[in-house]
Amino acid sequence: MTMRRVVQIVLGLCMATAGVASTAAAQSNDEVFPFGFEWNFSTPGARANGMGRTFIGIADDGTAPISNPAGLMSLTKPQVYGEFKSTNIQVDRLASVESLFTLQTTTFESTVNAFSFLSLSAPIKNTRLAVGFSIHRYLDYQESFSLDPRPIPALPSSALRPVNGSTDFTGTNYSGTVAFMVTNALRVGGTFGAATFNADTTATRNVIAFGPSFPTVRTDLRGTSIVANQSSINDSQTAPSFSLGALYRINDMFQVGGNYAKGPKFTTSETLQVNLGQNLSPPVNQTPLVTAPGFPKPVPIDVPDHFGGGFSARPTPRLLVGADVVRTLYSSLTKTVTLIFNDTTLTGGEFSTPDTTEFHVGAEYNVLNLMQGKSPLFVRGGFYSNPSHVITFTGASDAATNAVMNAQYNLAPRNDEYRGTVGGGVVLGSRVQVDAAYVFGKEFVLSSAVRF
Amino acid sequence: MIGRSVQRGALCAASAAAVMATCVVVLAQANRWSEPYDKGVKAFEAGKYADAVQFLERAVAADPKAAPNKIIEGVFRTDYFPYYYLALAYAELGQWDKAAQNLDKARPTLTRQQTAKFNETESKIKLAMSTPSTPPRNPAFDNGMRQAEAALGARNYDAAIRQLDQLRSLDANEYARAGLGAKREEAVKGYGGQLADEGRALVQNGRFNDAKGRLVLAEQTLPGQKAVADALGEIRRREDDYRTHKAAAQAEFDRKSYSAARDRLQQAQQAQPELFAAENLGARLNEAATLAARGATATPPVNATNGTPTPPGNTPSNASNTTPDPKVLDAQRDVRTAADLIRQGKYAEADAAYASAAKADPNNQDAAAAVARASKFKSLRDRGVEGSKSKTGAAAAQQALVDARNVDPDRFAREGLTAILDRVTKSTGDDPLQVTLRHGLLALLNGRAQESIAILEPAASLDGSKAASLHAYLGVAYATQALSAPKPEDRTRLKDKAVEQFRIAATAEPGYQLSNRIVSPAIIKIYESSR
Repeated sequence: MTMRRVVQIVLGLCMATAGVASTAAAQSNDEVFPFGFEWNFSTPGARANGMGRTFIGIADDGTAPISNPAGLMSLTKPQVYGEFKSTNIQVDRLASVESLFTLQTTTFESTVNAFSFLSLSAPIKNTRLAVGFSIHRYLDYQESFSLDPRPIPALPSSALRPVNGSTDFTGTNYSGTVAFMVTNALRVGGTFGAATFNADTTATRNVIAFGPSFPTVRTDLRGTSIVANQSSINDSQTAPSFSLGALYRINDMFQVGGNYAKGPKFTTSETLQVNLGQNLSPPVNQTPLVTAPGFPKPVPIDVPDHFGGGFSARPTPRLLVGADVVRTLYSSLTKTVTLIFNDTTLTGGEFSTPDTTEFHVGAEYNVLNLMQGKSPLFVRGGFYSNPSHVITFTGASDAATNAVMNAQYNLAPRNDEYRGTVGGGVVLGSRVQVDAAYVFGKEFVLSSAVRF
Repeated sequence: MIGRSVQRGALCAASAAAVMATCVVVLAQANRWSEPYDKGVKAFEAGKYADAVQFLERAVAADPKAAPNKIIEGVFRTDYFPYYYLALAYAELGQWDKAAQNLDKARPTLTRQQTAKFNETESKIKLAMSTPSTPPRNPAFDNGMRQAEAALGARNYDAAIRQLDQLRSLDANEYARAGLGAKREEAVKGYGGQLADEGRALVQNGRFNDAKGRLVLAEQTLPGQKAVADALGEIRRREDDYRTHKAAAQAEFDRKSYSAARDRLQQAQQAQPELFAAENLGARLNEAATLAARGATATPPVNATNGTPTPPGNTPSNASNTTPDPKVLDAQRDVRTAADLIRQGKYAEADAAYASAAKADPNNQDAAAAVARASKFKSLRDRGVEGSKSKTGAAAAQQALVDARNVDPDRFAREGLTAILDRVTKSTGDDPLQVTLRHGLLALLNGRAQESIAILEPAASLDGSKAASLHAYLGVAYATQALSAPKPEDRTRLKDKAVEQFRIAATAEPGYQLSNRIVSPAIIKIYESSR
């Protein structure tokens, strides 16, 4: 196979896949969608996680299909790589009765344990090619939340309904990777896959019982057991995705890399059901609930595209340092929001999410060589930033809608995230590597690679 | 794993996995230094020097930078010393120029473990390159090579090895250039196999002593043969059984349970008839049988295999009712006394006791052998000591003393003859240490580890003796004994001694390496672990 032929195939696949991708709207204005989705765009593997999730310019192990497909050419033998991840998800919501006035948030926490990455990769004999197959969990979001009835600051006689919600979003990418050595210094690669998206969410809103002193006394209201409405998504979708990468070895000490990942685009559907008995006097729960007119509605989910660049350096044979810059196009999530509520006064274009630029730095040091040098021991440390990318309501002509949406989307605090990471690893003989990493306050990662 | 998504992506995954599984069959490393380097080192270790050179040159072409702990990929590393192995491989092939070039390149990354082999190769290269480039080949070498090849073709491996060793002594450079090392390895493998077959046949014929000699030699010639290990295990088991029954018989004698003693002796005879005969236990068996027949005790005879009482008519024919000859008994007592005296170092008194035993019972083989041995030892000793006093007879004296040491190394050492031999050796211009080492090695290679110890130990115990080889091979001799010792306590004691000697060797010469051609991997492992 000539080099021209390989390039033609890679470009052809890119173009074909890109043509399929949708650029439609994303998510809905249901509370089940958090203010900022935590997509797992981090590089897999405890090694990368221990180094501040820095790997675009390194990419020299079985996690390369995700972090930088060109790095697959670094492999000299077939390799199986697996990762286990325990993630602590924390979502701050304005949940208590007076929270829209006090801006005191309530943190809803959940822990997700998952085998989040598996790959089988290998160089191909007597060629300049390497191939790989990988399974990557790119989304794993679970949350249960409960919101009290909350008076609205700019709408004194009204309050947001109490909500009980649960969400379970998962996304897995099944992909194949091809890497090609263009020259001894330059390597390129592409990962092409089928991504799945599964959503299982329910949010139930109840009728509010206002007290006689409301709104003079803002807290004189309570939620009742009478259901007002219930929204839900229960769907699975599959869509193509791809990523491209390149690595360039400047000399024995320095290497630079870059990658671009096109996120899959899904269209799921959401249903809203209402309790007709809420309007009776006294209101009652009348089952079954009735599907509201116009539902189910399609809800496109555009997984954000992202691209980045990185470099790595080996000042000494024992020390590896690296840094990445990653730009994530979160704005695609809210280009046009599907309106579950307020669909008569909003168009869906009144929401925005900022694109972000993350910085990652990290280092790995070979502290010790056990077993006569056959089992090197490594320690790792790093740091990364994750700028806030929560949704902003940009305003509408209707004052009441403005007040409600502003209360829902714009009052919550927006904090950039800065996290340190630590890790360690050991090589057992010439075939096995075991690594562990801890992302402070967020995640524990354990991974292992076996060469054949 | 990965929940419901797995089911939905199963088809996709299965297809991709199938493609990958197909690929994996043909996958291997591409375009790098590590694969050819690995293969080169393996080829070198297997003695395939031409292949090793080919792979290692490929590795160097891919990456010429040698380094310890060089990164293969990710966190995987290896020592990358292609020039070191290239130098050694080229030297084995007699390509001295290339060997020298690579040796120079290997010098900056040389490790402690490589030093000894490096120095040895460097000397070899210097020697080879200092000789004329196209020296005329010695006709004797050509003739010897033909003979070696003929012996090899006729599967006369022993002769082939000897012939090849002579050729190496004759012209080491020509030996290397002609690639005779590989032929010697072939002969060693053949000889090891032959010895193993012979040993197993001897075991089947009940000739355990001869079999043991062959099998030990087979193990030392070609370590790791399972059949040899099994056969040696069988012999050791029989020897253990023999000793157990013999000891039990003695205990029964002491308790005056003569029929039980008789049965135990019969079992000892069955387990190892040769030892039984060598220790002259036939007379003891006769004595037990006689006393049992007189009804000295009512203990019923016991069947050897299942412990059930043996019917009265089942007594072996050699356990007849003859009365033991008192002279035979006297002779046996004298032999035991002599053995005790030897243990105390009283050789003259032991000689007298053996002589008395031989006189009382000319059929006592122990006594006869001991008398002959002592006579030969004394003759050689006297000749050697006498010759050492004259300046002209040093060589003959040296040979006589060496022969005396071979006859009875313990006695030789205890009688202080080592110093005389060293003095005589020096006077002939030889290095006593080297001569001792050569003789010790010879004994070791012929499967006589105890004799090797007796030769090497006195030299090793001299103050200031720091020769690494001497201590290392004394350690090998102890380790050889440890590995074949039946009792755990003996194994531990001998291994400790081996480790002690290995440590002294390693201290005397930190990079010292045992030759893996003559020392078994098990012993090399002990050596490596003791450093």
